[in-house]
Amino acid sequence: MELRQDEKITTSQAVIGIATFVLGSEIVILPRVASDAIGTPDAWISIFLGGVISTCLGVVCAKLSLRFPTSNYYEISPKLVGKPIGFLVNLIYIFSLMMTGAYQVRIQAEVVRHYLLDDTPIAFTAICFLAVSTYLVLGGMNPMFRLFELLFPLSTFVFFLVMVLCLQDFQIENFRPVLSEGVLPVLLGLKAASLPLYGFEIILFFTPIMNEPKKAVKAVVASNSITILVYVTVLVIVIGNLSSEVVRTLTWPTIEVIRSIEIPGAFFSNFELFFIVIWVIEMYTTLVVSHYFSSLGISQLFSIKIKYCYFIVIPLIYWVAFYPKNINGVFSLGDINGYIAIFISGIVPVLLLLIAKLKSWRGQNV
Amino acid sequence: MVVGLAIDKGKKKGEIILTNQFVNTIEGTKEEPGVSNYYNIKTTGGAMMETVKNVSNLTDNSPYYTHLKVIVIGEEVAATTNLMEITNWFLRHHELRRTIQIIIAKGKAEKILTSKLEKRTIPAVELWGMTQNIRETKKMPRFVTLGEMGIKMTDEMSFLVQSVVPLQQGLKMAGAAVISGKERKLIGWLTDEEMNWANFLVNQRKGKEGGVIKVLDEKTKKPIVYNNQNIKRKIVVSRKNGDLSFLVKVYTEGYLLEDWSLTENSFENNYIRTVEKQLTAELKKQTTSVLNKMQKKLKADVFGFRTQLRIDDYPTWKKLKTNWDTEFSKIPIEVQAEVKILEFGGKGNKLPKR
Repeated sequence: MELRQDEKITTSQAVIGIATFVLGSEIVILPRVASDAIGTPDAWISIFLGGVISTCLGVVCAKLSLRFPTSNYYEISPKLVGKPIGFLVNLIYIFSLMMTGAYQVRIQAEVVRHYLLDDTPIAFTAICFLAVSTYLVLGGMNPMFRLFELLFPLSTFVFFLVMVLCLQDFQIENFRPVLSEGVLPVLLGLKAASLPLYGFEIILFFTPIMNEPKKAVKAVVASNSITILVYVTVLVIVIGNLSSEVVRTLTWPTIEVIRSIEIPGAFFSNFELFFIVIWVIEMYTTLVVSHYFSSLGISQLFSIKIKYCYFIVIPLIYWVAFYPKNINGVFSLGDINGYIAIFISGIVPVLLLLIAKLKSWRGQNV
Repeated sequence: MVVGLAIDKGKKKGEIILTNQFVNTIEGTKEEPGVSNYYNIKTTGGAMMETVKNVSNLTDNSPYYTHLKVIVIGEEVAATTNLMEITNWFLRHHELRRTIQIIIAKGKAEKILTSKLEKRTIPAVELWGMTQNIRETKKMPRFVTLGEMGIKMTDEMSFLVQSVVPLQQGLKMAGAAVISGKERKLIGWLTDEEMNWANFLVNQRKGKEGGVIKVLDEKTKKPIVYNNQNIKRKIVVSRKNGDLSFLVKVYTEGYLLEDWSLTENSFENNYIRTVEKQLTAELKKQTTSVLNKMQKKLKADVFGFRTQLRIDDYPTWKKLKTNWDTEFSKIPIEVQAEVKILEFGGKGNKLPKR
């Protein structure tokens, strides 16, 4: 992909792009998933460790992309492992992106139905969501990143503001004693707790379009620090308010905590409205990124004009989003998506980097 | 728009009677004398959601619960039904907020919502206002919200709920109902006098001020009243030769705001010390007796000893966890009290020094 210099993205746009893609629907269910996997209140340690690991993997992705400064993920893998396997890897990646998008669409629709519009069919909110995403994607890469740059600081600010309001019922006793059952549960829960942290492999698309590609490693580390901070904050606030036992029994623990905020006198309440608004924005940006890059993948893989791919992707995302028949199906869709993400953004880039190193060691010019 | 709910037991087995208190929103008639600003609708059913849906058969205003303020649970329901089952629907439905106050009524809950108030306000709204008064008086426990109740019942923690009785005209907050953590049922009551002292033993996150201690002066037999400003309560877990015991340190500071004895002289530090000593003795005596009642008679740990044990001695806690309330009743507990008088208001003695 060749872009004019002024169409390229800045480093801060890349940081925000990655963070905004990684942060999504998981904010509202992570406390339950993580506490359930760990069983003690130490989930925040797990997610912190998971964050360190994901940052390392992100650096691997960035290093890989720096070896091919002009090609993106879809172009790198065929170069390294040959056309057929590369094609397969790309196909899985496209599917993984679409699944991420579909998951955002469905979770968004479910939460909006549960808390805001209980008589509106979820298909309607989902279609609106997809339509707005298509509108932005049609404008191309630059409007996308400019919008992220505008929305991300705003949504992060509101997010932390709401979290500060949650402090009034915060009880530090819920975390004590730390590591009550030893280190083992924390390590066992690492996998479940770190699923929402994946998505940093998107840097493989950003490096070729960055105006300073050398800063790719810095961008990954910076954006991962943001996501770790956000997720650890959510976990600490939610478990501190509800205790880890109770978190495990609630469907949307984060929203339940925010629903209990009441400024004394009960005059100001309904803070979940603010939260759901910024959180829907957060999911929207995730959807936009996956919509755009999965269309790009289809366009590059099958040599179709990208204009058409934007529309080809919509029914596919919609179909995946509405494939699960009930809410438990939706949650297992999220789990499957997480496992594919571990494969595609954890294992594959490491292998690709190793192959690239081997090849250059053998003196092949790649 | 429903602002209050009362849950009672029906005549048949397993039947629930639900009283919905609606705000009368019909325009124009509210100001006219004789028109009430609320109306109650009573339905019966086997489960909560079913009972709620039955309301729509009786009125054109289907109930809308987002502005619900209080849920009053009748004594009979609370003592016989698992409260976790009763509150399940409330915690699931998106219209209900987790901040609704739960109150247990002595006798029938319905009577609370139908009681005549001199102010002619809506009983549910009046009751909600009363629940917030923990800053003014310590003769009731801090309010329990629906969400907190859910948390405590999931954690199998015993707790205190505000309780209310109907009077000839009006309502009275009367001490506390004790809910057992394991059975999740009402197991006993604390009178408002006992509650005054129990509040010193509870970990007060909010509402540390308010509440008084009254003693009769040893020499003059005249009352002295101390107004509490701050409570600090600390539990120390100790293990000597494998025997578990607790030490509760209660510290309170506040103002000396009433003294009937003519010989008082609050400008003298010695006098303040003697008053403090009497207040401390009274606090220790009363808290010990409340603690005894909770341990021996009701067998429920509502003061949070379990949390401290979990933090300080996790292996022991794990062993005792399943039957904690019974284990709790066997553990010796010592109370250490301290009362500190910070000031005495605008008048220090009755007569100038001669």
